[in-house]
Amino acid sequence: MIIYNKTWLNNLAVHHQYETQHNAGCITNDELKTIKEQHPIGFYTPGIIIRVGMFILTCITTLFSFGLLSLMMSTTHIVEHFGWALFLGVVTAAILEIITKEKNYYQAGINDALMWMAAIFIAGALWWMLEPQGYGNGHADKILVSFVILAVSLVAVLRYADMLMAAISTLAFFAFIFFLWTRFGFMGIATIPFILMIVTGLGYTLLSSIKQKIKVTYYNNCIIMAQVVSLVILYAAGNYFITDRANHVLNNIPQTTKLAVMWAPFFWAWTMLVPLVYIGLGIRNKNVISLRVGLVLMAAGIYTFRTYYHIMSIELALIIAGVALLALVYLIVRYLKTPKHGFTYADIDNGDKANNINIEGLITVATFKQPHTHTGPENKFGGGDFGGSGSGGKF
Amino acid sequence: MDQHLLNKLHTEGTLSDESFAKIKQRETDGLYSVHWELKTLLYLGILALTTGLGITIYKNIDTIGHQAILVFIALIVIACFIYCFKRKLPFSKTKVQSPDTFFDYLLLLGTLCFLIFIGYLQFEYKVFGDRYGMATFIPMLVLFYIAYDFDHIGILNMAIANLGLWLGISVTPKKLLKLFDFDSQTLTYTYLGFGLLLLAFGWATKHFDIKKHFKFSYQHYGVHVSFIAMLSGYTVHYDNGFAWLWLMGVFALGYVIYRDAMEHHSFYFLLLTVLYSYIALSCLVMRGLMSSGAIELIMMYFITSSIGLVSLLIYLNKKLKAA
Repeated sequence: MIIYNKTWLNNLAVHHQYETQHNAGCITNDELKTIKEQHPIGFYTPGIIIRVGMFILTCITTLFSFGLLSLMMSTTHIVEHFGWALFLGVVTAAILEIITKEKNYYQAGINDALMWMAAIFIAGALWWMLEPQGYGNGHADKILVSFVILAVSLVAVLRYADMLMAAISTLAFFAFIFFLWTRFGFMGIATIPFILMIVTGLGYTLLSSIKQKIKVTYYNNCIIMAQVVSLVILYAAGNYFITDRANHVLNNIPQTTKLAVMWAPFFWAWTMLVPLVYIGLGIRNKNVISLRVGLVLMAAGIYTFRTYYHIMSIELALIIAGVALLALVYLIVRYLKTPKHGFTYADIDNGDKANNINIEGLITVATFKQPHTHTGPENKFGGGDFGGSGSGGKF
Repeated sequence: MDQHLLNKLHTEGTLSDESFAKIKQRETDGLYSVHWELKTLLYLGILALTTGLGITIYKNIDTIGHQAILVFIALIVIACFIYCFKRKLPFSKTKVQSPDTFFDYLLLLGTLCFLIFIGYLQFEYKVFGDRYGMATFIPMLVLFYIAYDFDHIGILNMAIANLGLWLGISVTPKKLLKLFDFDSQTLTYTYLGFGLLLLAFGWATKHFDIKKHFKFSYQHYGVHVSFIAMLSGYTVHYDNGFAWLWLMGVFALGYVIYRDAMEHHSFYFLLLTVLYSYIALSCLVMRGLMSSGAIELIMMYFITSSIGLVSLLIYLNKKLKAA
């Protein structure tokens, strides 16, 4: 199923494991070196910075090649047919297959760019084929689109084990369920939050058991990504703000009209308590995904609350939140002075220190430029799943 | 952790008894580090607090009771700096480790509050009068001092940004600044100077061995600012017959940065110099091809050049790894 050499993928996992041990000071330089020599990797992986450069350049190559080909074919009118987009996508996919096998590219930027180009063109062409008229008008459209994206991205995930693709395909799956149920399900719009809760909850548990069961580790990062997305959607399905807005959109009522949300206390409880449950479960099971997603969603919960109840001004809320956070961190650090219950605040497996510091410095200047503009933590809400995915990547 | 492999490595003798025991110990400890979470929360707390204080000042700038807020901010600044001065390790020309987890963040909080304080003083009491240059120059000096004395790269980044701000303000006549009409030509020269100055700082940092780990920040801003200033110089003077000299400047600087990146094994600066030079090259080629009006040729240029550049990157990457 997966295109990459499996032995090398396994060896890569071994490298990562023993690098962590090395950073934690458990094994010596020589030992790490010997282990790496015993587990050779033949991939071409140039590192994140060169990967970004290659990605940009390959996108330029592909797009201009498509443009040139289309220009040459423009007189034949073949370019006005979905088959042309499909053809371009399939050709890109074929090139991707060949060069990935020949050159052993792995996270090299070139293969990433080709994969995204192929996926976008194939999915786009399929949609074009299935819905020749009136894009995005009918409901059936959305069901089809999410299904097409799901199908294409799932194939890409299985073949290339790409994390971002895994996130897309999880989202597409839930979108598919959402559109299908609101159209055909029992009391569609009224029951959709509960259906989504059930589906995402089941999805998360299923993914956890898959991760435990399968022997191979190639898809671990993809599964983590899918779990993060599931947890975020599980929360969003019952979030008061989202339910309220979706209620307007799905019933075609303008946002300005006030609508009573059914079962409001339940949704409010969900909005405020689910993040705490995530954090609690994360701490109890030492589950990094649940803990970090919970932390991000807590900000979303507070933001939702503030949208409906203006009990204090934004600046006062920010000051109080800031002081509270600082105090909380201080207390935790005091409490964990000696590690308790298996927790420590010490940086036990610090990776590349020098790089971290530089990145931190750049982030500092980017976020602190204007202290009086609205850059508070509430903005976390919009980037909710992004923050979550970022943390998933670090794991 | 693959236990089978771990045991195999141990029995084969790849892992010494000591290392094996350490790994086993680490596993039985099963310690979970909340380091990352705590740092993020700390950072968010500081962000929320300083944003809140900033908005408060901004909104209440002409009402009574703002003195109280001012005192509150001053207290935060004093408290943070007392803590940091007490805990700080003596100045050294090399990298100084922060004494504890809180240190860097409290220093950041103190510095940000100090900036809010200065901004407020200027707005309310016009301490610097209409000399906007002074109003940015003084904070800049303080920022540089804090960055060096306390060894804080985040604050160094803020100081560099402030230096750029100060230069930009000082060269633009006040009247123009008020009308928000920036003289692009003077600004281009100023920022080119700023970028080159930063690159010189970066070089000096390394050469005179003062806080060598600060070089990245200087060079990062220096490279971007200089390249962008030269490329915009080209567009500003597009109709001038000597406009190509700006692009030659890009190539010349690109070569210098390339040599430096090779010497210091920096993939980041290698990529930057390749990409900026590519933009400059494309500007030249486009200029030639535009007049011919052949869109196919332009497309062919981009296809072949980007493929060529990918191969160049692969080659340079290999060279850098081997070096």
